[in-house]
Amino acid sequence: MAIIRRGIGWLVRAGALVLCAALVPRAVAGARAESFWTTGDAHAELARAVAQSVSSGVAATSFHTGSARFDGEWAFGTFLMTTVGLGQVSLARPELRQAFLPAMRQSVARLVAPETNAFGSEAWGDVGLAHLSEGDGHGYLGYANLALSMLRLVEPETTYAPLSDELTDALARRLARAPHALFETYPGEAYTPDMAIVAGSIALHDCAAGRAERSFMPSFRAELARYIEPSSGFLYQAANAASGEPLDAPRGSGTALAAYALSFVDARLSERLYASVRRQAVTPLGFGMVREYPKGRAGGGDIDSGPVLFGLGVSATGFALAGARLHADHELFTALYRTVDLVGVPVSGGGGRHFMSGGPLGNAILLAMTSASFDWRKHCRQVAS
Amino acid sequence: VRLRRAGALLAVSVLVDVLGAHVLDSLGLIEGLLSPSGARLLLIAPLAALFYAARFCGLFVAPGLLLGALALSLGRWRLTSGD
Repeated sequence: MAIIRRGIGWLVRAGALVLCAALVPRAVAGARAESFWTTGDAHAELARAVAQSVSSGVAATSFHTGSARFDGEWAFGTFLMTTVGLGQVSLARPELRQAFLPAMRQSVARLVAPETNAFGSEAWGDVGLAHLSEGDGHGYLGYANLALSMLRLVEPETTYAPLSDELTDALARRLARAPHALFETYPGEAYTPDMAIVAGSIALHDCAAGRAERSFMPSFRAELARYIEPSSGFLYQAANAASGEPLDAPRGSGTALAAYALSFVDARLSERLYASVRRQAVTPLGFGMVREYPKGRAGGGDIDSGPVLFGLGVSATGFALAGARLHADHELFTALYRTVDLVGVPVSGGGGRHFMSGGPLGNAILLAMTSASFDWRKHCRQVAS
Repeated sequence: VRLRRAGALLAVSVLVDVLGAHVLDSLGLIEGLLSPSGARLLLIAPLAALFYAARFCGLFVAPGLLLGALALSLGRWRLTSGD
């Protein structure tokens, strides 16, 4: 009798453990997901914290990745994602525009400052922004241009409009000349997600400036689609700019980022890439994560992917939030958000509510990715005839 | 696990979760983990490990232990009260 009673006791305990593990974490970690889905108060709180973080002075010296280039890229990425994220929240909630414009202007000012671009200048041996008319390469400038385009959309009268025009035209010339839809980010290095950003920045600029689509865009889209690996649907991350030959594996982080960037260029291509990301997602216990490498393919983490654990990538998971929101995948958005909430840990402070383990870059990325939408289309200037 | 112990485990886990998040935030978790300063890393890495252990315990384990203990206590109470 005692044995039976003890057995029942263990069964009750095990049942309670399984039931609570299946229900409690997903309920707690997903509590704020709906607010992020609808650009509610949680979004505004994160936006305030990100704006405050930029105002308090982020720079390359804030990061210590062990590589001066990566430290510079992280500061550069923080200013980009801050501008884009605050812009998207401002478009969705116009009453917040005035509050976030100063931080957007400040981020753009830092983004185009020589010290923030030092990582690219060192790699090329010249200052990319100083030789826009005759220069080549410097594909990383597409990220700065995306921020300039977003600022232009939110504040059409911005003093950065001439630079935005000049940089967009320079990048458009380089992309139009590229034989395989690729030009180099750094000497000898060309990346497909970077070109998606370049194209997205041009398209968003043209929307903000009231300009018709550039003539090379249809062929660019067709060429870029050739870098989609057929079985996984992921984009090859790197390729030879001269020959178009893939040089890296198809990757989740680059594909998810490209799905976001291409939403400014071609919603269908963006959706196609997002569908591949969706297929490579897993959701144990309601927590969403995305594979960095397609199923059955092994690979390690790097500066682009972040840590890769059991094949699941931190960057791929974070960037996938944008595709989920853009393409109305409420279920995966909620599952991905739960993972962000569980590992990121929301805390109050700094004028808002941010993710404890995000750091300045992580929080800015999460703001930009969770606020991605097609709202920008409603704000395009009419194309001059 | 007895009801009181399960309750205490949940309470401690939640407390460490809430306080630990603020402590690690003020110390700068990511900056600390990336820091070239070994001393800072030595302080933050164990704190972060303890914090996440408490957070995962508080969410995935402790509620189930408490519910199990609660269910068994209720069963015992019904038996001893002759209901």
